Amino acid sequence: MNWSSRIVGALVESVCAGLAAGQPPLAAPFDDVARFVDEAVGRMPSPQGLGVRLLAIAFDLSAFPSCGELFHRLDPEARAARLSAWRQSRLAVCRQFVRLHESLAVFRLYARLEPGE
Amino acid sequence: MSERASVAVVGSGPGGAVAACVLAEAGRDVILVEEGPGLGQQSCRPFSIEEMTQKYRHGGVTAALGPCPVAYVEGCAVGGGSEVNSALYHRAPAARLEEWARRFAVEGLGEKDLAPHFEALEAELSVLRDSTEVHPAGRKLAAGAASLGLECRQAPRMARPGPGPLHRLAMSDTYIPRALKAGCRLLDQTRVERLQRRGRGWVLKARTLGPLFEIEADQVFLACGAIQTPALLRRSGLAPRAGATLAIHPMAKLVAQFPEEVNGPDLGVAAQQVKPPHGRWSFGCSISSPQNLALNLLDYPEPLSRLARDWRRMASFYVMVPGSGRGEVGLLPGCPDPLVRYALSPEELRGLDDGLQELARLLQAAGAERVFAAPAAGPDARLTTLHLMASCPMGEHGGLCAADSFGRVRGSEGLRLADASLFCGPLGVNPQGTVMALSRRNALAFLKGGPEE
Repeated sequence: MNWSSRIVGALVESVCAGLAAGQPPLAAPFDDVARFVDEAVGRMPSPQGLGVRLLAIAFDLSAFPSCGELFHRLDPEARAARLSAWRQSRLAVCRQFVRLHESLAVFRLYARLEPGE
Repeated sequence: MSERASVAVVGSGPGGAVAACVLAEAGRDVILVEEGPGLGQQSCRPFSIEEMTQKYRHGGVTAALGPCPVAYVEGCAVGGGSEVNSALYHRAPAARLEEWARRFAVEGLGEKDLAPHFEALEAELSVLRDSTEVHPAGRKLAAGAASLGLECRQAPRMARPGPGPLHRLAMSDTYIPRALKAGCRLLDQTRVERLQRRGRGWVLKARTLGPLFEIEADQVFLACGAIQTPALLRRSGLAPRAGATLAIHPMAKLVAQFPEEVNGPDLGVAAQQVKPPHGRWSFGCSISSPQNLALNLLDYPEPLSRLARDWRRMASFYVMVPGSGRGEVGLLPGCPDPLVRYALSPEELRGLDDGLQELARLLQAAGAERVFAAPAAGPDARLTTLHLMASCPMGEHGGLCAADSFGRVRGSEGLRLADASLFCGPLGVNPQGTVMALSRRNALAFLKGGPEE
């Protein structure tokens, strides 16, 4: 798994765990959700897709000064705090980055309620 | 590998499919080139995750950037957008056609000029105007409208009635099989990278999962949609103003929860629509699968956490405004995909905000227990659009129009447009019927003009 996929995986896990969706069919594991989000970002048009990948790296690195670790290596509580900080950031681009991943994660997660899933 | 045809039609959505069919049935040697795969409607459930990945460009994750980003989708399969939409069909409003004809000096665009084309399409497509099938969410919209003194109508649909749910008719069910039967060749999964003039004809530099190859054609009809058509023109160094005037119909959504069930698997999307006389907005029903409800409830953790239990009592609805902002389709050096930008006008933002409040009132009057609306303004707004148009307007006003009144690209003999990029502004209603009517009109005008056209 490459760096970018690890970041997306950690982000998705944090988003899904925060949805209080602990009962089947919405419970962990979230590997299918992470895979969907990673592939969806990979399919984005080139200008935006590149921007999102760069922001993901910035997001991962931004945890280091305060936590001493990259985001994807943090424990669940610290990840939730970092996610919340970006969700409420004064920078629209940070909020939109989280928003995009939340939207994709929620979309795939709740598709589990569809018949045949 | 190379191909040769008298006419190449690029894009197989409603515009391209109708053009290919008209030309092939008139005996022309036609090749229809489509970037997406030929899957048909049975390859996946409508509005499912599989449909997104199979039939939407970029998996459906596309947005027009700006102070309020607007998510949009484009179909990318044989049949284009018709394979993934709700098969709604409207004639262009007469007042809008008159306005375009006046402002852009468009010839032959009056209501009477287009009527024969709409009539022919409606006969060929068996457009349903009064289906007895009413989705429970559509009933709620109608009940709320009645209690507010508003009229609720069922939008006409390209669909075949049957014992079960309506079978929506896409281009893969209608004009594409007809075109193929008349001898048209179809190249799917083939992306046209650029166009080049060669002699009196054109060469399309295309790619099918491999190296570039050439498709030679005397005449080319571009029908790639309001984003990809100007992008292809710009990549080819043609029509430098293409893409500068993109228009959309912005939409905001809300979720209403009712005491009884209004939702379920395989119910599709209701065709009921409410259009108040003031024309500032219209209301309708939106996709209400669990994942789409979840997306519209992202700002509401409590109902989201109960969605597994409550989703059958919930439905999504939209407010759509006519569109008065300005967008642009541009290219960045080294990026194969276009960069789309859109700046919403203050009028659009007010319309979305006021419209959402009115829609909430309507649904509460219909018995909704709770209504959850996503933000409709600011950088955190959650706006979408399904209707993209007017990026290469038609007309005789050379300063404003990338193409003439019948879709001929200025300064590029033998190159025509046949999609929503030709519109002169936002249409105000679902554009699918008008795209097909314009495409039919332009293809017939070409045939009437003879081979030297």
